[in-house]
Amino acid sequence: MAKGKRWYRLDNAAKLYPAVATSRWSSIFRLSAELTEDIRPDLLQKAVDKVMPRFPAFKVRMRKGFFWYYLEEIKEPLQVVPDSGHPCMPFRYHENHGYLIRVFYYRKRISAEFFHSLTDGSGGLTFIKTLTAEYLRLCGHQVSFDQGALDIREKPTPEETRDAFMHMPLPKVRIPRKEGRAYHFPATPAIPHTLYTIAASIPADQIVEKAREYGATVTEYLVSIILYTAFLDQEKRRPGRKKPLRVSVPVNMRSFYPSATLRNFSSFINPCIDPRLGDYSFKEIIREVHAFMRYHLNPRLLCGAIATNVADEKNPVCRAAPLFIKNLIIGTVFRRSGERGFTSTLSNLGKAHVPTGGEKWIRRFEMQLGSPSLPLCNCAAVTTGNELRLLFSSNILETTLPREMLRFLVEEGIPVEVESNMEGS
Amino acid sequence: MAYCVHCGVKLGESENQCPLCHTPALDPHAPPDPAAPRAYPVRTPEQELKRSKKLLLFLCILLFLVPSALCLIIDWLTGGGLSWSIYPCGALVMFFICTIVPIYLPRHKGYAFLAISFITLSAYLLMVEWISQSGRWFFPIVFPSLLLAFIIIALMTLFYRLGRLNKLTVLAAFFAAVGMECMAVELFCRLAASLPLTFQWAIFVAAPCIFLSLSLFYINSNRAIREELVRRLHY
Ligand SMILES: [Zn+2]
Repeated sequence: MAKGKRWYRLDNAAKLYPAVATSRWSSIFRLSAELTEDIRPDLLQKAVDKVMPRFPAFKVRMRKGFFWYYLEEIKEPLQVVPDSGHPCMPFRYHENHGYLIRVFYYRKRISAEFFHSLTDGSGGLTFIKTLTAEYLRLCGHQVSFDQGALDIREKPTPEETRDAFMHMPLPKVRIPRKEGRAYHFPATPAIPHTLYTIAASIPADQIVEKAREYGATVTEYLVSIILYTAFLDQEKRRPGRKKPLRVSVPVNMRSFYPSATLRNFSSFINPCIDPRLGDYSFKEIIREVHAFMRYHLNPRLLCGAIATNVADEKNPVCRAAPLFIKNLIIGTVFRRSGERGFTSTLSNLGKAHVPTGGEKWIRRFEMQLGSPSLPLCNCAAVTTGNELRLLFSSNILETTLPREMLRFLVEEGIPVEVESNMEGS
Repeated sequence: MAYCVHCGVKLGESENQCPLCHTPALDPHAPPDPAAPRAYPVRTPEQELKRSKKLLLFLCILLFLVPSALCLIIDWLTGGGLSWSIYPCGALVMFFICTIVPIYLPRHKGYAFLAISFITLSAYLLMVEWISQSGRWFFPIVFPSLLLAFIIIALMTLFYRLGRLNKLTVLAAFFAAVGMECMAVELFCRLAASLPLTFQWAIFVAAPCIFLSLSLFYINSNRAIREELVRRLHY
């Protein structure tokens, strides 16, 4: 470590990502703000220069210690660049001063990509809100730093950069987390470094209304549609050897343990149905998903799952192993389990409130998950105002999941508008 | 503002096809504007393979350099000079050229690749003849056989690209080519040895090959047989 540079330990969730990252794949996600006017790169650069000091935990590069990776402060400024057709490309530790965050502009959209070791969706949303607010202020608009945007005139607090996992009550138990393989949609992998994006705009009031008719939340409703789509697909294509269907749903732990941390503080729950036990109707699926979520979204079970991870990290044998051995073990475990256990991932950030004064200039926020490590299609949702923006990211040629899911919504009477980054024929 | 006739979703202004089912956007009153800016930047093909090509190059160099160096060292240590190690090293150079060059050639430069392979293969064999002092066999026999083989491959490539060959006729043409090549090789051998120009062994290879080839061409031209075969043999 160079003298005078701050450094941070990786938090518990962040430790996984550098260990499993390769030049082909690493865990990345992107948050974007779409404005009503074209972005001015010079002003965006100014905004980034002013906002970055407020987020010291993002101004870091990945460094190798003997036992663990750590994050080291970067002094050089972060450059904004025009967006490319390759969203969420793996970060290379030696490029761009080692920044694990990128800021792009494309037409009316400001995007920021984060390596998952830095933060989770909630921290990313805070960053993009703050950056957008500052950019709009530089454009001469009256926008305040509220509704989740941080005031850049204030100093960063230690609370924002701390590892919140270490400050929650963790039980001293280990919960077995064995989960078998799940059904994957049959898929043809695309060329490496390709990420197909399909964005769907859905009126939030209508989808909330529809979900309520089933007695469920929007997340439960969307998860149920994924499961139902996968169920029908498996019935049609693999009726012989069925597998369970499971969707991974990230959970923001801040809603259970209020914390101002901008680093990782989320966990997962994995609603699942098993068609080997019999057929399901959509109503049955949504009832099961609803019950599953009600049961699993409680602080005790979530803490138990985190406690298991922390216990692994704190295991004296594991701690004493040199980094490369840890990487080897974590990599093997990840490849053997990892995304094999999930049919898809649905990350719903919920409502993103627009900073006061920005309503006129900000059309929407959106989140995109990076390339899955296996041939899969994942989705992320953000609601801004009365629009739920659902972004599908896939590294496969087939569009089965988004197609069937959005057709289902249309059949339910909910209008859907789609955009994509796919080339026309 | 078009809707996908298939999925019922509204298509964004810059979508000229439905991203879900690839049905072209149909709105007779407002045809899609190809110049309209895209909602998301579209993938650029140049970017994507750069990295993996670099890695591949590195791997190939490693695969090439390590065994070559080993051969040279062993040869030097055991014999006090270089003798047999020339052969494996030459073979490795050829392997290197045949694997690396096609990766770096732009697409659809198959003929350039064929020419390069032909030249390196000829050079290698010529070198073997020269070093081993095993008489003159390259120019009378090997060179014309090799040339013929490459010309046949080039012609087949040409016909395939022109769309004149399907799976079945490629197979048919391949058998015909093997038969012809065998006969040519025997002729060249006999010419070199000043023997009378008749066929002995080549006819036993060529006859079944040509028979197979002709039957395949016949099956290809007869639709009823073709369909029957597809029905019975599909997998
Ligand atoms: Zn369609």
